[in-house]
Amino acid sequence: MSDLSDTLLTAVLAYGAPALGLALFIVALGIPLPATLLLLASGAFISQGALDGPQALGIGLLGSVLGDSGSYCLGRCGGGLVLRRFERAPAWRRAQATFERRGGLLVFFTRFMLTPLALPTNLIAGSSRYSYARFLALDALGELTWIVLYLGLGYLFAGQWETISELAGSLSGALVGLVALAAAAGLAYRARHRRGAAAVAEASAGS
Amino acid sequence: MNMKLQVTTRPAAQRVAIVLALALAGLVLVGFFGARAYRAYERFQHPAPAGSLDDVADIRGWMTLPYVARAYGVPEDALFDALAIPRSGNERLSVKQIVAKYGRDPQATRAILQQTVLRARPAAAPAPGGAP
Repeated sequence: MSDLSDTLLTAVLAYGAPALGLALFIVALGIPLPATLLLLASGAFISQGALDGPQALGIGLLGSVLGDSGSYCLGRCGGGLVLRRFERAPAWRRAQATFERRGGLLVFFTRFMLTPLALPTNLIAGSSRYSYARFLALDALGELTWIVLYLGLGYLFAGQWETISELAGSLSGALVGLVALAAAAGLAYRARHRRGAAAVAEASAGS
Repeated sequence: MNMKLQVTTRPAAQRVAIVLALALAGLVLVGFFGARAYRAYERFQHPAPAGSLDDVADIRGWMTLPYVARAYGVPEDALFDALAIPRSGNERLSVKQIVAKYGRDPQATRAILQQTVLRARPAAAPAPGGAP
């Protein structure tokens, strides 16, 4: 385990739920900390009576939702520059419309699956002016799922939380790989489809 | 005509490059993390036997003394006394920080804690879940 993980674990043992909440707040702002490991360990600490469960859940949720709102705001403020430059471009408008339609799913699922994509999602949500009320509701629901899931796993498998942490981190990385493969397949399919359509159009124009 | 040809072929080449880069990155990520996940799953399926005397070897540098006491079901004071340090000011420090603060030998400190736990444990049951 790294020195950083050691320091965070000691902080949670020494200062309890506020240390966990602060760590989750920092993570949601985009600073990489081993949050999953911390949640699993906290679950184990709860099962051993070294940490208060409801406090850890409440303060942890507050920290991560505040952090996500912070990165949403960063996207909203910083996104102004991008908006001024691209808002009339059809591609940008299409992307904005797609996020407006399906962004909710992305906000929800990137909280506990595909977690490496959570920060870019927050920034895009902010910069594309996605409704903050909707973002907040889905974010809170997703973060609650994430926290309950990992605190629960740590609680249930208190003696093996380090192994579960490695397993969860590895599965998350593999999932990002699968998404990259799916994106590559999707792009290849679209390119092929477009080429086929262009050939048909050319043939009909020629005849 | 040449200009038109350039305009139409370059994006296609770029698209192919993007698709290949994405596919390669995806394969590397799935391979690397998949193998790590498999190893972790194997360990999860066959955990080391718990409850043996060896589990005091699981006392880690990040643990605070009150946590060691709780996880192994021994009185906190026994651990502070064994290390001959006051409780006040050290309750929130990890074993590693205590070693640094008092200039102790890390191995010797760990050995003292392990022996203290082994001596004190029969008097009290360990906490549910045990130590990691």
